[in-house]
Amino acid sequence: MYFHTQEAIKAIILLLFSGFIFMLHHTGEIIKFINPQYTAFSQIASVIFLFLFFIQVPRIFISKEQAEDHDYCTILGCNHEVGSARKVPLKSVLIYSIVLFPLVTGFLLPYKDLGAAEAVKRGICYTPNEQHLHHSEELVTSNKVFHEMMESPVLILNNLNFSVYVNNILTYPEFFDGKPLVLEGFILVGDDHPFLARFLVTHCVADAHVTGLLLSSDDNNLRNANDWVKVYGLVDTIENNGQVLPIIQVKEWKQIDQPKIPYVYP
Amino acid sequence: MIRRIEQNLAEITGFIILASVFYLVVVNERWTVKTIVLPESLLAFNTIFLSILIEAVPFVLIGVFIAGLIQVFVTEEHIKKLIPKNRIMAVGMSCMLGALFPACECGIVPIVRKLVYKGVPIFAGVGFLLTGPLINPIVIASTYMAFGQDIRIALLRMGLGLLIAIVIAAIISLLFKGNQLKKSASLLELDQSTYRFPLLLRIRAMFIHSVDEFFDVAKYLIIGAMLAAFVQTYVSTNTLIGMGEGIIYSTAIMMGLAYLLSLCSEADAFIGASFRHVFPETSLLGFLIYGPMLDLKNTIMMLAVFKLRFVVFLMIIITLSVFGVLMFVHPWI
Repeated sequence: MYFHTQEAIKAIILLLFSGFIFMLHHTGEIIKFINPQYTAFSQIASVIFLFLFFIQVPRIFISKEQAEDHDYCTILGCNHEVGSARKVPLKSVLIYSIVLFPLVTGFLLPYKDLGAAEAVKRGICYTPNEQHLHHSEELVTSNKVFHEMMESPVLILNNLNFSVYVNNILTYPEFFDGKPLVLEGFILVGDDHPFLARFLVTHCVADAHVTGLLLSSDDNNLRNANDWVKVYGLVDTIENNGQVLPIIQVKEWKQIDQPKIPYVYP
Repeated sequence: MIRRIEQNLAEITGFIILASVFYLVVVNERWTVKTIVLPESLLAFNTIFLSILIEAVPFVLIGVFIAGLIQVFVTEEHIKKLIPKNRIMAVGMSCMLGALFPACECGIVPIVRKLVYKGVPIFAGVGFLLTGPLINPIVIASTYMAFGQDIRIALLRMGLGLLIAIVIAAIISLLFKGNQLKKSASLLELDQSTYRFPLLLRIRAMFIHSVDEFFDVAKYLIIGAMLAAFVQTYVSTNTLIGMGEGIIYSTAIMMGLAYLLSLCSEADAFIGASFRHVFPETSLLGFLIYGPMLDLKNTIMMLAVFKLRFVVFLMIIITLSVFGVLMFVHPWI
């Protein structure tokens, strides 16, 4: 019986990956990394890692017969370096430390939610994704969410409808003039007006980008970047470089703690 | 002592698993380093780095499984029969096949490596590598959604992407002979046919190859994710955008951004769309087409598989082709 150190290291790494992803799901911290809609993928990955671990474990040991029989080389790969089985060459040490790196930082370091500092780096966009110069009724009637928004007396924005609602308000600001709405987000300080922002996460936080609406308020306390606030206000419009932009006339606001799920999803 | 450990290894590993699961369930809280205060940006870097990895890992695992499958079950004779003798036909077929095959840019590298190793000509492999992540139903759907339910950009992305991929594969077929793979010890041993072994053993061999393949790919994936996360944390996109105006500048900037950010092709349309108010559509197409074909993360992974010279040439050819074709069609967009 021979013991293969390298194969053992591989087995442990596979188990750690499985355990790491399992732990993220178990503690719910997975939402700090990916859109909850896609969690099934990483759950499957966790199970596959565990499965690969069980595939890997028997490779840690080779019996004497196997070590001498070269017949299986072609299919299982050669494992005959029995003389050096216990030694791990420097190059492999480097490789395994690279693979272990995310596990070490993942297990030990605290995770950070993206905030105002990252938002400024990534650029902010106040304008709609689509520019309809002629807001024909036809186009508007085909939009289901738009109808839903027009019919509800107060727009209450949550994690799931935030980006759709904000996008509609940005695209058709004049239709929502005077509409009351309630929304939460963190403050970014722009040139004239503060900006109420959320990070929109499509897949994972690496593709997060900022979405949100401008705020109009006399209260200077509403200008502290990175503060989380809940705002009640009315939709209004302003002109900026010949473009009509929606802006929220703040009626009431209060400071809140950062919500459990800081991101919004499309 | 070591002998005793060896004899009871199954029990010991079982115990480790049980203990770790028990720990996770009972403690339900991570022990984190709180004594050392790390800068916020470093923690943001770590979070982005891990999120890129967590997002990519399921697709890489699918990739290594398919690679393992090809390794054990596909023979050179199969490939010879399937690939058309005619070069032009082979280029077209590989690009179409890639278009039908849903994969992401990190999962496809190990698959292409195995295919080329099994005798697929290098230009066909490249065609497959380029269209696989770029053209597939998920990418079409997400592009359509991101650009405000406008099918135009999605169609342009697919159409131009396919055209550019064919151009690149054709250029590669003229310039490069041989398989351009790095010499790797583990691959060279496996030249013989595996058909004389029983099926169960072959299935086991497939999984073992998947494990080895995973470790081969993982280190490059991790380095790539680290670089991409670094760029995302420390480089401000605003400074990139402010660098210049005009169609040539803006396209070059968007392509550079696509390269550095290394986003998954299924999600990059949303980022591309957020630049809609800054840049013309041609530049956005540069972002959408160039990103899935080539980025920081998959450059590192390709370096692991192909010879350095080939990767450098491929990068130059991809960059020039995407840029050239976009500049050529710009008046009509």
